[in-house]
Formats: sequence, structure tokens, C-alpha cells
Amino acid sequence: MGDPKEITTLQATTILISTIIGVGVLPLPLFAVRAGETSAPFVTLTGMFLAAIGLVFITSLGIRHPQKTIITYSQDIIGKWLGRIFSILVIIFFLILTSLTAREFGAVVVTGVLRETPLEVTVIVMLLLASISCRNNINVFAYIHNLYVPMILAPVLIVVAFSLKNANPLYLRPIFFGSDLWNMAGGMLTVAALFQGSFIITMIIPSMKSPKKAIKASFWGILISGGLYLLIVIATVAIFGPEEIKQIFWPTLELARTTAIPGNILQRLDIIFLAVWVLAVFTTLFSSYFFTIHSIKELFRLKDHKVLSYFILPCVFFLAMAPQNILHMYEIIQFIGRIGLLITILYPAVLLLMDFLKSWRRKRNVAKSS
Amino acid sequence: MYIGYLNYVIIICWVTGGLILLTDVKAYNNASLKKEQKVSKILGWVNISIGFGLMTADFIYSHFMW
Repeated sequence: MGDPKEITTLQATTILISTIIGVGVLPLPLFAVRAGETSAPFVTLTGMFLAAIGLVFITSLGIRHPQKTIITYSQDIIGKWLGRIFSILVIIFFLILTSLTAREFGAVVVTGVLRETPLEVTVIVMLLLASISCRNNINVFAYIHNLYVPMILAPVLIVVAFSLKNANPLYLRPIFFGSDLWNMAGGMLTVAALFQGSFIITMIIPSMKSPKKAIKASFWGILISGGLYLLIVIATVAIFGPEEIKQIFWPTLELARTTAIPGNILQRLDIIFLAVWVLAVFTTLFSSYFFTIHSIKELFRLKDHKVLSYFILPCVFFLAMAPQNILHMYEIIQFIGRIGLLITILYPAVLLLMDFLKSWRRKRNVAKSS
Repeated sequence: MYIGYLNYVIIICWVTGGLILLTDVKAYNNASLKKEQKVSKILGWVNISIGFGLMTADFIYSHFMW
């Protein structure tokens, strides 16, 4: 039941892309505009750079320990018990992230498409899909992501391209510092939190054919997903303007609603966009769910993760239903997202620093003794 | 506090516990993974017990305390 090393660099890239692009696509322009007004694209760009820095830390650690994930090499670097405590924090964070993803999906579906369906049912269906899919090994996980990436990217790019004909570039000025710096820094953290799924690379590297190429996969993964996020924000702000966006809960969905394919072939693209968005949410949920159970498996040194896929389902569902309403849910998402940056950026940074110091000391001792 | 989704949680606990006991325990037994078989047995019963525990707590709360 061990995982063979078969994941290619391309597959690792597609896993990153489809994991990062998820529920956050819909409220992203709102988060960016609240923080930066007309500088929303700049806020998105800085958030993307912050996320890229975190991804470089975690990928570098993975390359230095190609047989292990953060759950196992953290115990080598900072000690068995401290490593375990931080691993538990990582697991809890991803458990909450999974539940919030499912809840956000349910909220959008119940509000926009299936108005008569209970919220609980949409959340359970998505969680069941993820838990059943997670029972496969990591290669099947990679195939599923590989299959869905073109279906996620192409329609979003089409919506952005066709919507740009109504764009007003004046809405994007001033490009830099359209709001005060503190506000923009907060927005940068919120946007960076949307890239937290990229942490999955720590689980992918041990199964890659050539782990050294993980940095290449990370670069392309964050560039493509971040580029798509940036395009969405530019298109949304250029069409609606910052003041209008502040009144809309999911501006990207509104963008798809106002976009038509020329020649009256399709006069609104929101249903197509939502269908694609469901795929994007599924892949994100799938990744965070898989990461959670894979990490629990490694923490307790089990040989297989299947049993955990069903075991954590009630807990994830319970957490998903905890927010009282959509406003409360987005408050929690922003709070947890910012706290999560300590786990996805600061923790790997500290681990990498300590790992460097340890190997430097080891080399110095070897040189002294010889 | 009223938790409207508690019934769903109870049913999910029973279903997942049952699925673990019906599928995973047997699969691990066939694969001769003793530790995993033991863990899956425990986790399956844990989920079923949580389901019954929640149902009992809900019954006591709604009939005797509210």
C-alpha cells in the first residue's frame, strides 16, 4: 500500500494550480478592492509574492529531505515532540481549511443555484465526494488534478477575455497605493491566504520522480494560478469599478453574469462559470482533505490512509457548519487565513533556517575532526 | 444553543463508522496489516459511539433541560 514514485514535474505543477484555484476565486476581487481600492491588482500581486516566498521555503525543505514530508522532517529538525506538536497544529489548520472550503462551496451553491436545497446536503455531498476520492493513492490523486486543470483554466480565461471589451482603464488608477498602506498590507495577507493550498507540495515531493525539479513545478504553479487571479481582479475592477465591487458579494460571478459571447451565442456565462467553479472547488477540497489524512497517517506511522478518510468526515462537517451565516463565515475565513500564514510561511521559514544551521554545524564538525 | 444540523452529524457518524467496520477492517485483514486493522476497528466504533453519545445528549438536553 506504499506510494510509487511516479509523479512528474508537469503533474506536480497541475496539482499546485488546481489546488490553489478554488473557492477564493469568487470573493477575491472584493477582498482586494476592500484593501486597495483601485490598487486591487497591486494588492493581489503583493499577496502572490508573499505566497511565493512561503512556497519557496516549503519546496526548499522538501528538496533537502526528498523522502519525507513536513510531518516527518520537522521531527528530525526541531526534535520529536516539538515536531509532533507543530504537526498537530498543521493538521488542525488543514482540517479547518477543508471544512471552510466545503462551507463556502455550500453557501455559494445554495445562494446562486440550488435555492431549495438545504445547505447541509450540498456540504455533505461535496465532502463525501472528497472522502471517497481520497481513498486512492497519490498517483490517482495526481491524475485527477491533471485531468481537471484545462477544464478549470480555459473557461475562466474565456470569461476574462470576453469581459475586457467593456473595461474602463480609468477604474484601475492609481495603480499603486490607492488606499492607506496598513489596509493594503492586511489585504495582501488575505490574498496570500488564498494560496495556502500550495502547502500540498510538501506531500507531493516524496512521490516525485525527480524531487529536485519541485522548484520548477512550484514556480509554474504559482505563476499560472497567481496570473489567473491577477487577471480576474484586473477584469473585475476595470469593468465594475471599486465602489460597485464593494456592493457585490461574489464579483467574479457577477463578471461571468455580465459577459456574453459575441453573436448572441451565449448571453451570460455564469452557469458555465459555476460548473467550472464546482470542479475548482472539488480539486481544492480534495487536496486539503488528502493532505489532512495523509499527514495524520504519517504522524501516527500508519501504512495506509484509507480508514481516516471516513473517520474525519463527521468532524469536518461539524466544523463546516459552525459559522452562523455568510458574513460570519467570511470573518472566520479571513481570520483563519491570516493565522494560517504563520503555519504555511513562518513555520517552514524557521524550519529551513534551523536545517541550514544544523547542516552547517555538521559540516564544520566533520571538517574539524578530519 | 440550538444546533439544527446535529441530526446530520449523528447520521454521518453512524454511516462512516459502519463503512469503516464493513469495508476497511476486512480490507486490512486481507492485506495482513494488523496495526491498521486494529486502528480501523477502534475508529469505526469511536464514530458509532460519538453518534449515540450525541443522540443521547440531544435527547437529555431537549427533554429535561430545555
